[in-house]
Amino acid sequence: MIDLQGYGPRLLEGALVTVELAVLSLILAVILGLLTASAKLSRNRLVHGIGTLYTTLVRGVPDLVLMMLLFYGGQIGINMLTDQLYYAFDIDIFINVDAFVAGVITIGLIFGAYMGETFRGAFQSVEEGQMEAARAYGMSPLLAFRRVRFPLMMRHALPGIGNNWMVLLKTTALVSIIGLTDMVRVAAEATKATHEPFLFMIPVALIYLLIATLSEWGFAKLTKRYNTGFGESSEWNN
Amino acid sequence: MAATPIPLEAKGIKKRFGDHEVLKGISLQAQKGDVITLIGASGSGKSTFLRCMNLLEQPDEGELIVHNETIGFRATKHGREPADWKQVERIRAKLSMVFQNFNLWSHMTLLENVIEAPVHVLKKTRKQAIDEARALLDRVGLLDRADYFPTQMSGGQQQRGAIARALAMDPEVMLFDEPTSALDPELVGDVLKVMRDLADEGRTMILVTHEIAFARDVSSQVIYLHQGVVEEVGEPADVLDNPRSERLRQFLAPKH
Repeated sequence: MIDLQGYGPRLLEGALVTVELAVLSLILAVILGLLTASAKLSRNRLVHGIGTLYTTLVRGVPDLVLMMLLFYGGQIGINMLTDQLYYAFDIDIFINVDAFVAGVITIGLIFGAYMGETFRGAFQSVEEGQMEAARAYGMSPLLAFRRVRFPLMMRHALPGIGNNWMVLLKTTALVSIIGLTDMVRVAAEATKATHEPFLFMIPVALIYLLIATLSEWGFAKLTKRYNTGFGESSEWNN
Repeated sequence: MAATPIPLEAKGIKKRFGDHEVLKGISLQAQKGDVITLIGASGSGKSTFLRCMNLLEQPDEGELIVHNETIGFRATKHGREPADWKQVERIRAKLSMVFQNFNLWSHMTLLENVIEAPVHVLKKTRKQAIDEARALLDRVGLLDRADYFPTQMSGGQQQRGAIARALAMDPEVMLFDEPTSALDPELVGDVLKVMRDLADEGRTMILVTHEIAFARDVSSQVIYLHQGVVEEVGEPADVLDNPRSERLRQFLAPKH
């Protein structure tokens, strides 16, 4: 048995932080992605402009720079805001930018832009007649989205989402820099203390690999589900 | 005694796309049990007119009254829009449309297609919707295809399935937009047979078609459109057998 020199439990805790961070960021990214795709497909020029500005900014600036901007800059911004509140209305609050929250927001923001592009393409690949039928049968825009556009769009979006997820998972390692104790940070500390990089980094690599493998399996399941009704035309019957 | 409400009435419908005026003021009144057929060359505006009736296209001018309910419009900078989209949704649920390309939802089985709007729009229970759907599928001869996906069915089967989906709404009026134009000739007959049954049982139908023989058989009224205007209107025997205008005569003449 490998002796992790007492770092085992902390490494596991770190792994849990990594998974939580990744999953919450993914949820935020999907929501932002759907909004961005809708914005970029909107006929309203202002809404369209905001969508474009967002994706251009995020995709053009390094992830790490954005993260630092948000973590340090965000704290300063919030302090300024709460100071104003105090002077103007005598409301005294203190909000501390938590490294975890900052991490989720940054990674969610970054990947929201990539998801936006994925979803935009997927939205456009849904045949217009499918939505027209939904409208013609009295569905509200929300119902038509939920019952028709979304399930049809997912078929085209899933490969892209899967890809983004894998990259997102690995991007979470960056949060160790803003002080969040994910498994990479635990392993780095342990390495510094014991001078045994392989002992800690290889388990970390294996955990990432395990998560990635499990996700691939999950995405394969989802892909199968959203492909129902397609590709079975070989059973064409009269 | 109050008069029975007129299922659908369109008055002076006008529609333009850019500079091109597609409909130049068309009216129609469908009494209960009427089968009204719109004929005309492509580009005459017949499909656009049909799509104005359930507001898949927004008419720029004119009035629509469905079962005594007048659809409200308001002016916006993009042109006229329905004032209340909830009202539009409610009215669309009473006017089932059958499309040229069937447009069955491809991620659902045939049965799921038929129960979708009854369950989610009309708020029927799933159980009730399934019972009704099975009866309708039996009627169009597709009960054994209930669990098939649209891609697993022929065009004719898809269109009959789409008619079952339309019937499941128990619509006030059924709108057919060239329902047989996308079908192989040998599959047209089955679909027309189902439609004839519907006409016979007194369904109110408005139909855009190129099947002149069928129109002559089932219609109570035929409207011939040319460049966005009603050129001739009347009973099929008058319009189709004794066309007054040279243009309609040419339109009806055998092409080969």
